[in-house]
Amino acid sequence: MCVFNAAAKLMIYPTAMAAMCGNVLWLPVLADCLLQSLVVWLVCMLAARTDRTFFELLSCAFGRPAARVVYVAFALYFALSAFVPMTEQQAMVHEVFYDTIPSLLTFLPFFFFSAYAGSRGLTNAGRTAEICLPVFAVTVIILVVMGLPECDFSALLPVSAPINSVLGGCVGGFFRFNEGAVMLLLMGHFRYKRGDAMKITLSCALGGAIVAAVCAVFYAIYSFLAPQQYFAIAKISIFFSAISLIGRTDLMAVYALDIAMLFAIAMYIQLAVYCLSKAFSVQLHPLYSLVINIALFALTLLFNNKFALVQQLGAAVLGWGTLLFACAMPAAGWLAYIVGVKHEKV
Amino acid sequence: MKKFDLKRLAAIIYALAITAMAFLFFTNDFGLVDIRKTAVIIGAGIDLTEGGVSVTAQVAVPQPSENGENTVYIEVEGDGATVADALNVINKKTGFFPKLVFCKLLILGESCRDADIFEVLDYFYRDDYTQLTPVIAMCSGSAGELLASKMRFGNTATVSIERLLSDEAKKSANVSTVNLKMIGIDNFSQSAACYMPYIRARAQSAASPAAQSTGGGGQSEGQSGGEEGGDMQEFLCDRTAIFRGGRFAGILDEEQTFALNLLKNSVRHVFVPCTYEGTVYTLGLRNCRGGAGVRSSGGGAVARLAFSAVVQVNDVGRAEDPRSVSEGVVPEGVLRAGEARLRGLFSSLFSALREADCDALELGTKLFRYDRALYEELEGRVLSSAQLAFEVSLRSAG
Repeated sequence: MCVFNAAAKLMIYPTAMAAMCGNVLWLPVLADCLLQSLVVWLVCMLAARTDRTFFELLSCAFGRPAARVVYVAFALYFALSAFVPMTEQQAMVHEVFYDTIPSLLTFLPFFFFSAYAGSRGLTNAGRTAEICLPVFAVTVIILVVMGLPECDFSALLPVSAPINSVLGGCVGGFFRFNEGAVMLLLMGHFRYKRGDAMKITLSCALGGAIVAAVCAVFYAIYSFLAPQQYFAIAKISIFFSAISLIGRTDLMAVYALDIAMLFAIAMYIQLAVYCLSKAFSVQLHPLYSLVINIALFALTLLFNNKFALVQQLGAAVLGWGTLLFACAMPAAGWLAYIVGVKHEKV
Repeated sequence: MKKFDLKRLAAIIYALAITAMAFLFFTNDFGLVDIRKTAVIIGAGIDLTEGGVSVTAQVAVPQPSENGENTVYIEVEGDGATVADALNVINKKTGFFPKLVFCKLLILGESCRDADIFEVLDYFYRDDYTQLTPVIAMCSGSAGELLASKMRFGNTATVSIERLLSDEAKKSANVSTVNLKMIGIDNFSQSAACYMPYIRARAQSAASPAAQSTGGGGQSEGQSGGEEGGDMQEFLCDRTAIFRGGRFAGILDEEQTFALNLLKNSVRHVFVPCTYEGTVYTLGLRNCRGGAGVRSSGGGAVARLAFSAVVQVNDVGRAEDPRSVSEGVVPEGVLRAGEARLRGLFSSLFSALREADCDALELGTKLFRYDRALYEELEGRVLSSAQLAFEVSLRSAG
C-alpha cells in the first residue's frame, strides 16, 4: 500500500501541484492522502467485521447481477487509472532515458510486461510489493539526499495560501488517490488480525507523506521554476556536485525506481483483470489481461503526443471515477454489509 | 522420468523475452553514440542581431583515434529568429544533432543588454532535453568572438571560463557563479532581480614570456579564431552584471561583486585587505557566515546585512616578530579595521543596488516569505524604502 501509493505519484504529480498551488504544493497532497487514509481505515473496519469479499457482500445484499455490473465498472475504472500514470511513464522514459526523440516502440515492452503481470493473480502483486519496498525506499532516499544540498526550504514559505488554490490542488490531484478502491477489492482476500487496520492505514498515510516530502524537496530545489520541471523524481538530483564530474549516475537510482513504478501501474491492470474474472466468473486471466493491454496500447497510440490532454482528462473525468469508486463504493460496501446482515437475520 | 513441463518452459521463454525487451525500454541504445555523427555542444554564446539571434556553439567533436588527442573543438555559428531556430541552423550546417545536455556554459553577448534576457533564454527553460545546470555569464563585446578566442589558460574558451567560474572560485568569493536555475528562480521571485558574472577578455601578446610559458595546448579549430601566433586572451570574471525584471540594470565593480558574493554564496576562505595604523594587513577569513535579511521595524523594513568569520592574518605590509606570528592572535584594532572595511564594501554594494533598483539581495522575496503583510504594504519599493543595518563580526583565530 505504501510503495504503490507513492510510486505512481512521483512523475508528474509534483509538477502539477506546483503549477496549481505554488509553494504549498504539499498541502493538497496531504489533504487527499488523509481523506484516502480515512477511507482505507473504514474499509479495514469493514474487513474486521466480515471475511467476505466486496463481491460477496454485493451479491448477498443486491444480487449477483448487480455485483457483476459493479465489478465490470471497477475493471474499467482500474484500467483507466493505469492509463494516466502509464502515459506519464512513457513520457518519462522518452525524456529522461533518451537524449533524442525515441520511437513510441521503445515503450512497447511495457505492454509485454503488464500483460504478463496482469495474467498473474493478486497474490503476485503482494509478492512484487515485497520486492519493490526496499528498492523504492533505497532509491527515493538516494535521490532525495542527492537533492538536499540544493534545497532552499524557505521557498516553501509562507505556508498560508489562498483556499481556492489549495482546494484546486485537492480536486486536481484527487484522481490519483484511489487506495480506498484498491483496499475494497483486497478485502476478504486476507485474514484480518487485530491491529491490521492501523497498520494498513498508517502504511497508506506513509505513502502519501513520502509523496508530500518529495514534493517539498522538489519545490525547495526549483521554487518558481517547479511548474516547468516535469518528472520531478528524475530532476531533483541533477544538481548534485559529483554528477558534473562523473555523469548522471543518479539515473541508476531512477532506473531502479522506475521498476517500482512499473509494478505500481501493473497492479491496476492486475486489479482490472481480477474484477473481470469475478464479474464473468471465469478464470481466464491471460485473456482478460491481453484484452486490457490491447485496449491500453490502442489508447496510447490514440493519445500519442497528447500528454496535456491526458492529464486534463485524468483530472476532469477520473476525478469523478475516484469519487465514485474510492469513496462512494466503500460506503456502499458498508451498506451492503448492513443489508446483508439483516437478510441473514430474516 | 520427470515429465517435460511445457507451461513452465513457456513462462521461462516469456520472462526471457521481457528481459530482452526491457533493454530497449531502459537503455539509450546502451549509451552507444556514433561518434561520426555526434557533436557535443560544451558551451554556447548568444548575441542579438538585427535579424534575431546568433548562437555560436563551441562543439566537441569526438574523433576515432587509438591514441593521443581524440577530440577536436570547433565553433559553429547559426542565425535565426530565436535560439531554437539558430540551433536548427547549426544542425543544418553541420549535420550534427546538437546535444545540449552536455552544455555547461552559456555566454550572453553585450548586445543582450538591450533585451529581456529571459526572452532570449526561453528555449533553455522549455526544452525537454536541456537541463538548468549550465553556468551563465555575460561578456563585454560579442559572445561568439569570445568563444572563438585563443586562450592562455586551457585549450578552449569554454574550458577556461568554466575553470574561472568553478565552484572553488565561487567559494573564494571572487566570482558570482550562477546557473540557469538560479537566475530563473531569482527573476521570477518577488524580487524580480538576478545577477551573473561579467566577463572581460584581455589580450595578452603571444610573444610575451608569460604567454609562451603557460600557453594552452590541445587542438582548437576556431572558424573565427585568431591567426597562429596572434594575441592570446585571458579572462577576468570579477565583475557582476545585474538585471531587473530580466533587463540589464548595471555592472557591479570588483569590490561590490566581492561583497555580493560574501552575502549570497557559501564562501569558505576569502582574503580581505585592510589598513590599521598605517600598515596594510591581508586578513584570511574562514568559517564565513554571511547573508542578507529583512525584518520589520516601526512599520518599515530594515535590511540586515550580516557577516561573521574567524580571522587570521595572512600577510602584513611590514616585518613581524616571529613570536607574534606563531601565537596567531589578531590584534583587536586589526579586527575592527577589517569589520569597517567589510561594512564599507556592503554599504557600497547596497548603494549600487538601490541606485539600479535591483533587488539582487532578494529582500522583497524574503519579506514576502517571512512578513507577508509588510511585503504587501511595501510591494515594489522594499529596496528603496528599507533602512540599512550591519551586523559584521570578526573573531581572531588565535
